[in-house]
Order: sequence, then structure tokens, then C-alpha cells
Amino acid sequence: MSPPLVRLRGVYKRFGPVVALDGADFELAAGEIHGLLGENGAGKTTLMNVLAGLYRADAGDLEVLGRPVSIREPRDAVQLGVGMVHQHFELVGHFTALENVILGREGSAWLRPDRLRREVEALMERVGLAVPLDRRVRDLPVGVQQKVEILKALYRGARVLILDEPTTLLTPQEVDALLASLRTLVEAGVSVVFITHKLHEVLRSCDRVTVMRRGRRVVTVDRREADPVRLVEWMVGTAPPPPPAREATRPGSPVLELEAVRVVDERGVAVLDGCSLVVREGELVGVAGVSGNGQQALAAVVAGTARPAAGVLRIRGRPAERHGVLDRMRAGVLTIPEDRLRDGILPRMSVAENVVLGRHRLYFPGVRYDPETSRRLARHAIEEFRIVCPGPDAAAGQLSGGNLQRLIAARVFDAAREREARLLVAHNPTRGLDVPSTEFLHARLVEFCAKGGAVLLISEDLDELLKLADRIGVLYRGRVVAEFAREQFDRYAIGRAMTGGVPA
Amino acid sequence: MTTEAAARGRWQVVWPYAGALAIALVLLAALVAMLGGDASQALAGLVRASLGSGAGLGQTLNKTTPLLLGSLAVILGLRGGVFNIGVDGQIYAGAVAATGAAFLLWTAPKAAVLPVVLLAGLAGGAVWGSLPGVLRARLGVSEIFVTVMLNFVAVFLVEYLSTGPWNDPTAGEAITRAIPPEATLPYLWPRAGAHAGILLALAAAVGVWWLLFRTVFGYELRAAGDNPSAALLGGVPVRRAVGVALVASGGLAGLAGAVEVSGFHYRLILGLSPGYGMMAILIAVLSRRHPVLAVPAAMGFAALLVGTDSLQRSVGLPSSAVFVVQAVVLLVLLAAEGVRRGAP
Repeated sequence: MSPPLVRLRGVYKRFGPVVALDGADFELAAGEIHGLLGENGAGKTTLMNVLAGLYRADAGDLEVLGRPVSIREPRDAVQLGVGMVHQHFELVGHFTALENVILGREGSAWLRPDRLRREVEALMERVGLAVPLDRRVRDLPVGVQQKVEILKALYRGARVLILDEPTTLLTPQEVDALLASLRTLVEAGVSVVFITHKLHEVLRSCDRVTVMRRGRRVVTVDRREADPVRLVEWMVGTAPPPPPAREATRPGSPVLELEAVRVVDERGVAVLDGCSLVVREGELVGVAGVSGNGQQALAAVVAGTARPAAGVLRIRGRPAERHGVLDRMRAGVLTIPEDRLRDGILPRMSVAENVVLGRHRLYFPGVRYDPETSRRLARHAIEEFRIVCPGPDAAAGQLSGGNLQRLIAARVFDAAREREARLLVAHNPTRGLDVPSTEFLHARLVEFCAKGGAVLLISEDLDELLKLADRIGVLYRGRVVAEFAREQFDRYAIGRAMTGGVPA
Repeated sequence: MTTEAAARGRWQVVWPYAGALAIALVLLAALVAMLGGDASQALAGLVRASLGSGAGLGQTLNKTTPLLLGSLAVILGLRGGVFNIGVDGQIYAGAVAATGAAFLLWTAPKAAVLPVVLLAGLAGGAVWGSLPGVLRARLGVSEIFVTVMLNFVAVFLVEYLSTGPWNDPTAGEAITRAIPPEATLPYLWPRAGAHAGILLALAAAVGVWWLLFRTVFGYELRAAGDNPSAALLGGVPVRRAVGVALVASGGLAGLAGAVEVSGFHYRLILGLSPGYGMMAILIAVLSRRHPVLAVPAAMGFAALLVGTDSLQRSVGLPSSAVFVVQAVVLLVLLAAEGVRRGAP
């Protein structure tokens, strides 16, 4: 048997304390579409970034057609014929499609548009991808932009095309078109790695599947041997759920009620559609799901930064569809945002000024702002929440991720005491945190519940949910498709609901 | 250890400017010599004309006033994340309102005239700032377009008024009749010709500092400017804060216009603002958006303008050469700012 086109062996990569790849293996045969499947954080993208030269592995071997190679930077990968299309495209918006395809490969000092255009047209013909070459990229729909990215990679000579979660931003029609064109690409001699966490896409389009979990390969199988049941088992493992980290409480009256809530984003896509959920006093309700299934919209609609287009949203029994962030805060809703840097931190302002954000009107009910009060609160928070920083006057933007999350926790949990908060919405609160910070935050969530608060924990970390939640709702395509009480917790059943399978 | 680091930090801020000043002076001497003047005489004259004599200092103070008020206007906007490049238009709008008030108030009690004139200027500028403010807060329209376009509107309004209804027929140029004496600002230092506007500007600097750092509104404004999405999630009414900031920013610029009318020109003239709005942006950046640091920055700027102007008299440089000198000094200063920012 001829050697595989690409072989990765024992690839190891760590980021600080986090081990992203723990001896991962992968083989790609010539002329196949190879699905790379796994939960978030399983190491799929990291492994492919190593192949594409974006990361350098700490250890491990790379072979192309049986020959050992070293890939130190993206240019090396391009020379070996490896091209990668990332989740977020790297296109110049105000350039035309043609200009984007030939970018960096213009040939010589003089642009020779006619010759280059003929080349690109021939390429489009050969691989069966057509895009309007003279339209500006930013005016093109996302599905077409993606084709431009693929053409760009192929124009640079890619024989191995890596697609990182290519279907996340696409409409169902665009997904169909993409999967069909992959087949044509293979017929034109390209091999494809298809990174995804959606089962049905793998089963529809791939020749072989590699499943990863926790930085390692679990298995590589032919599509014929893969069925949804086994794939889910490989993805989530068969370990029993971890023991609960807290005693179940007797839930009180409902704090948050969603009934058939619909939220439409700026593209006009319904990101939440018929979503129903109840969280009661003293209850920690987890929301599981593969990212991109409406988690952001759910967090936003509860926090008050997004308005429902339809449906009922009640907070402590009162309709709150039309309320904004301030009304929510007054009603006792607290948020730990998913993206700490984007939605949580004032980077150029001091730690003290960051600590009081969100409760500044509480501490300063009049006109005056007193920096000394903020500093005092910050010193207190630094001590209690063990925030590592030079002091209350340091710029918050200098803090590390874990310390930023502690700062946000200090803000939230102190406000909880002050205002008798009723509901906490936490979205991926421990992502990227080290073990002590994670445990610290978990303890705080548990304590909050024990005091009668309600928690909505939206997380992509299933273990976190299994450990903490009283109930888990599974969000799939904008609605809660299944709910599991703690005695029904079962990785397999939850994993299957997450990937679109009907729960047993 | 920390104090040591702080001291080092302070030096890192100072040395680029000190270096820039030295480079600027050397370049200035070289330029003057190239243009056929006596360099040492020019430098001495420059210092004397801007800071080294009573009259020079008076002129510098008078120039400082609109520059400081203008830069405070820019700072207020920048802190809220908006770029007010319409300070010139707001200066003119304030000047128009102040002049109009001075003309209309001839029957009012004398003591009330000046405060009303100044407040009218403030209001005029605020109105000019409110248009971009409302458009930005309600519709998200970029303030940059609106403020620049309103600059033209204001300039043409002044041209119309100064050549039309308010024209001084005896002057034969685009200036209006003089405002009545009770509408003029008193002298602070009569022998030097320095009017009391500088006190208003200094009070405004303290006021803007207080607003930004000692009020809840200022806190929310800075939060909105630093990271609007985090501020919003923290319950800050971001759009409203930014809109109010633009209105207040316009008010400060309008006050500058009123001071120029009632303290310096005593009438509305075309060319009342020789680009104060643009210089105000430079001062705001040089002072790192800090209203108190804007005081020395604006004064230094004023001294530079007054001092280089004097080169026409002291060494007989043509006025165009004076502009060259000013531009060179400015570029060196801005380069120094770049060096400071790039410094580790």
C-alpha cells in the first residue's frame, strides 16, 4: 500500500498550562474527503493548524508522501501543497474576488490581469467552482466568499485542502452546494480534510472519519463502519458522568421563563426559534450544545442586549420582552459574558474602574463618582478573589485571562450580595481557565444557588454541566430539543441530542 | 521599586518632548539662516515675543484661550469614543450666537449682557454639536461626516452675516459692526492686552477634569469610549452618554467662539478661527486626552504660534516662511509623540 498523502504522528502541543494536543495521530489518503470529528476543544483545529504551519508542534513527526518534512511557517505548508480555509475568512473586503484569489501570487511587479484572469477561470472550470470574479468580496454572500477562499488556496497550489468548520456560517442551501462541490474537487485531484462537529455532515460527505477527544485520536474508520451511535460514543467517551458537585436543592418559584422565544440576528437568520426554558430559584440549569446553535442569542436575550421577535420572556413572573440591560439589572439579573475581552472589560481603564462597572449606580447614586470608593472595593476584590495585578490603578487590559475572569467574578458576586441578585447567566465562564480558577468559579456558582439564586449556565464543556447542573437542556438549531434531569444524565443521550439526533 | 519605575516612566514621557524641542530649535535656526536671517537674533526674538515680555505673554495667553477650549472639546469627545473634527464650525456657531446676542441685548441691564453673550456662544456651539450628537445617538450616523459638513455651513453662515445683514458698511470687508462695550470681556492684564478669557478656559479645564473623573456621567462616558459593548452590558446608556458628550463638546467650542468675539475681535469676522479646530485635535492627542495636561500643551502651542509670527518682524521672514517654520516644529513634535508611544 502506498504511503498516505499526509501523516501526522505523536503531535504534542501545549498552550501555557493547557495541553491542546496530547500525542495526536492523523493520516490523510490521496483523493479522499476525511472528516475530522470531535467536541469543542478536542484539538481538531489545533492539529490542522500545525499541519498548515500556523502553530509549531512541541513534539511529533510530519510526513508528506512518506517523506519526513518540517513545517515551520505557513509558507512551508503552502510549498508542500497544504491550504487551509479558516472559520473566519481572510479576505480583503474591498478587493474583487479575482484580486483576492491572486493576492500574494501576482507573479511579477506588473499585474497582468488578462493572463491571471484566464488562469483563475481555467481553475474554476477544472474544480467546478464558479464565483463572480469582478464583484467586491464584501458584497458577496458568505457562501460565495468561502468559495473565493477555497479558490485562493487552490490557486496557491494546494493539493490538501483543510476546511475548518466550513458549514457554521452557511445556510442549509449553501451547505448542500459546498458538500457537492467537495466531491468535484476530489475528482480534480484534491484531498480534503473537513473539520466539523456535526455528525450528519460527516456521514453525508466523508469517505473516512477520524474522531478526536482530548487532544488524541480515538479512531479512524471508513464511513461504512461509522454510524451515529458509535460516533457519538467515540466523541464523548463512555465514562459515567462525574459525581455532582452539589446537593440538589428544592427549586422554588420560576425566576426565568422563556416560551417559544424567537430571536433574529442582523442577517435575518432566526438564531433562537421556539426556545422554551424555565429556571427556578435555587436551581442551576445547564444549557449544552455545540457552539453556534443559539447560545449567544440565548445569553443576549436574557441579559437584555437582544430583543425577542416573538415569544414570551418572564423574569420573576413579569413580562420582560421589551426591557433593556438596565431593567434587567434592576430585576436582579447578572451576566458573565462569553467573550471577556469584548463584552466584559474596559481595557484602558483601571482595575478599580472595572470592578465597579455595572454596580456603579448603586455605589454612586448621585452625581459624584468617588475614585477612592472604587479603589477600596477593588482592593477588597483583589484580596478576596485573588486577582493577580499590580494594584487597583493598573490598566485592566494588562491582566491575564484567568485574572480577568476573576475580576468579572468579583464584580458579579459582590453585586449578588449587594442587590440580592436572583438570576445569573454565565456563558462559558471557565473556558481557557486553569484548574484552580475553574474550581474557584464553580464553587461560587454553587454558593450562589445555595443562597437561593437561579443560574443559567450555558457551556460547551459537558463535564462542567454534568458536575454542576440540576437539569440540562440541549440547544440545537435555536431551540431546546431535549431536557435531562440529573437522574437521567447520560453522556451518550445528551451528546446525541447535541449533534441533532433525536433523543432516545 | 514602584516609585523608581514610576520615575523612569515619567522620564520616558519627558525626554521625547525635550528632544523634540531641541531638534525643533536647531531646525528653526537652520531655516532662518537659510532664508537669510540671523538665527540667534531670531531665537531671542521668538522667546521675547511669546513668553519673555509682558505684551508677548499677553498675546500667548489670548491665543491659549481658544486653543485650550477647543482641545477640551476634542478631549470630551475622544473620551466618549467620538471624534469631533467640527470644532471650527462650532467655534463659528458660538461666535455667531454671541454676536447676535450682543446686538439684540442693547436694552438689557448692562451687567447681564456679558454673561448672556457668553452663554449664547455656549448654546450656539452646543446646538451645532447636538446635530451630530443626535444623529449618532439615534441613527448611528458617523459624527465625522456631520461635523465636517457643518464646518462649511458655519463658515458660509458667517460669510453671509458679515457681508450681509450685520456688515459694517464703513469697513469695506467681511466684518460685522462692533459689539457694544458692555458685551466685551474685561482685561485681565491691561498693559499686556490679555483678556479674561484665559480664566474661563482654565476653569473649563478643571470642569472637564471634574466631569470626566469625578462624576458618574464621566465614568460612564469613559466606559462607553473604552469598550462600548462591555459598557452596555454594564448598564451604561452608551448612546445617550455619547450624544450628550458631543453636545457638551460643541458647547465648549462655542464658548471659544464667544470669547474670541467678546474678548479679542469685538465683532464677527471671517477667519475668526485660523484652524483652531485642527490644532485642538493635535493638542488633545499630545496631552493624551487629559484635560489638565491640555493646559501646558495649549500654552506651548500658543507660544509657538505667537513666537514664530514675530519672526516676520524680528528677522523679516515672509509670512509664508513663518508657516513653514510652524509646520516643521509641529511635525517634530508629532514625531516625538510617535516615539513616546513606541517606547517600551
